[in-house]
Amino acid sequence: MSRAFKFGQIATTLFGITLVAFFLIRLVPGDPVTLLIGERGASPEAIAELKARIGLDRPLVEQYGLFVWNALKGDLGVSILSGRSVGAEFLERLAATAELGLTALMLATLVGVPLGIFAALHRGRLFDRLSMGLAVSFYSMPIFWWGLMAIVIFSVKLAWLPVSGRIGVEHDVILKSGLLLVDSWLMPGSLAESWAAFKSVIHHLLLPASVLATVPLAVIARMTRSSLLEVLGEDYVRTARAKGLSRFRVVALHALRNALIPVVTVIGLMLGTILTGAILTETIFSWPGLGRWLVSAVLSRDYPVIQGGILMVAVVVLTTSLLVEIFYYFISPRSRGRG
Amino acid sequence: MLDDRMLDIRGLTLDIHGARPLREIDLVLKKGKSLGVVGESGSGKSLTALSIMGLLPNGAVAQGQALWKGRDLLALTEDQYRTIRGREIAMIFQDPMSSLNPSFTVGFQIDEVLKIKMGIRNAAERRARGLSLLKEVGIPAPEERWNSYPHQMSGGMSQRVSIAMALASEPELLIADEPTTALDVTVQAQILELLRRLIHERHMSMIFVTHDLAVAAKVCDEIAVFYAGVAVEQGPSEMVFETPRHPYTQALLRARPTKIQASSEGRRPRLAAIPGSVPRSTEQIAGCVFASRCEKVMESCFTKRPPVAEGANSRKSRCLLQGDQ
Ligand SMILES: Nc1ncnc2c1ncn2[C@@H]1O[C@H](COP(=O)(O)OP(=O)(O)O)[C@@H](O)[C@H]1O
Ligand SMILES: [Mg+2]
Repeated sequence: MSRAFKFGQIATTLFGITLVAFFLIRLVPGDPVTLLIGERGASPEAIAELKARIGLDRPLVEQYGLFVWNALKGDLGVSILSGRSVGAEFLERLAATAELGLTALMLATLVGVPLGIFAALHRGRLFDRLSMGLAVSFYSMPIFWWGLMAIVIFSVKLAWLPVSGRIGVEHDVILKSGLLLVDSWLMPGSLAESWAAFKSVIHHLLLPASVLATVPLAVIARMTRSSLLEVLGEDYVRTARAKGLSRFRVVALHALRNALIPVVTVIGLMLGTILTGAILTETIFSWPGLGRWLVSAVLSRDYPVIQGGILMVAVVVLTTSLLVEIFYYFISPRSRGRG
Repeated sequence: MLDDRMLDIRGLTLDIHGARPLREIDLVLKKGKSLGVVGESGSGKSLTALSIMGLLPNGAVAQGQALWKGRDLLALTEDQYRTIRGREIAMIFQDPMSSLNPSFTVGFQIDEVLKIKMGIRNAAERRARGLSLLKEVGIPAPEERWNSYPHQMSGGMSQRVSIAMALASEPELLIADEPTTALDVTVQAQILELLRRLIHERHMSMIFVTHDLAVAAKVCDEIAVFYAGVAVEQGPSEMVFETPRHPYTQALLRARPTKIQASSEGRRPRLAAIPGSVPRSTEQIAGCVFASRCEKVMESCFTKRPPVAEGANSRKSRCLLQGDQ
């Protein structure tokens, strides 16, 4: 695929997303101004005036054109509800979601890959069937169900882990990177205080990250298993065995090096799944990330947040998938072509 | 003479999921000699080779013996096998392009043999040794090839690399399973010549698997002819070629393409002239596997399994006619 083609593809996708994000929410009954002040019995004049101030009185096409034009200039407008810049709010929320999402992805990878390898090496036996059966249930059960179960068991019954939030209120962490795992070490105070804050962050992360990890874990485990099984049947694995190498070296080096190439790609693509899952997970666990931000924006019809937020999420997903492709290029000698 | 038997396979029988692709294979390889294993596709050549290497597919159950310098390979544990596999016996395969690991350079794949199997600690020494191996198998600009990935090479070049990799452990026996079948005609001849030269120079033994009797006769000292999982005949190449004992070998030679046709090499022996078809590996056969197609068939051929009949010049065949002589 040529670079120009790739670029065109990304541009087209983003353009399509601006269309969907802009028009879809406007098809839903209700508008932000009515939702904001209408119920308090404001006069029709006041409503019309506010609409005019935010620009909602102009023709839709003009509004859309303005949105795209401003977005191209890097301006996503301001939230109708909070009056703050959509871009700034996005970045804040992105950090919270990234912390949750990356922790979940790491969990899914650290558990999923070894699980898949082990299942492949014990193909058809009890462990294989059990773990792959579990993977299917991870995949097919709604995240909501897992989230509520996790809360009931670990927070309510066992009282091991907190139900909501990112960190205990007693810790005075100052947001710098936006990632509390990092910021807890940058806060003023002693090392012991930092450590306590860090532990609190981990505690708060554990449940939502595990719940968010279920689907990617299942996908990664199954992908690893099937990819390794396929590679184990390849001629070059037979060659490696014919060379008299140890079984460990044959599997861990010769087979796995090739089997993990598609797995890495899948892990990268899971970032999109994670963002979707985050919307639910963040709602269940009151996690102040992109998901919750977008959900509440939809509920209040905060148009600039919805259209700008969705556009930015798309930018993040496309960027990561591009990075995955570049990474794939480096780990797979074959994809680098001849020469 | 028992001493000069380097590999002595006796009654090797293989069962895989209800099929019996090998039926009491007997095969003898003498020290420093090359043995051609010839047969149609599906006759069990590769499985015999893999049995020797201990690389049988999952679920395969082997019976009989494969005595390697007096030790039964079939009775070895995986750990014991590793001192033989890739060290005393090396193997190269039919499809050189897919037989090399796409994720590692040529250098890496040769180097690991020198490091792990030969125990050479010094990296520079391994590299020097590896490069001289590449040179020995006729690879131009070995220094450049050392850092190449398999997909950057042609089939012929890949097969040369595979050969170099096999030689790296200085094996006593090289098993080559149809090493030229996947290659262009001109390259085939070069690889054959290379193998012939190498086993001569290095005093190696070789088992050369092919579907082409003429090629086997040209390259090897002895020939074993396979049919439906049975080694129906074995003997010195020119004798098997000139005066075949087993009716199957006779039919095979008669069915060979003429000289003119043969110039377009790579043709598989086809027994279109003989009615009937090769029995499946799932069939139970009480007598001779060739009985249903044999023109010299006798009644007893369907009920009595022919024993190995040994003749002069260490010729052997599995045919009741020979047993009666
Ligand atoms: N892994 C396997 N499982 C079941 N049957 C097999 C397997 N490998 C080979 N066979 C069967 O064994 C027979 C001999 O195969 P093979 O040794 O590969 O033949 P050749 O190398 O002479 O062409 C064939 O009928 C083939 O279908
Ligand atoms: Mg074969």
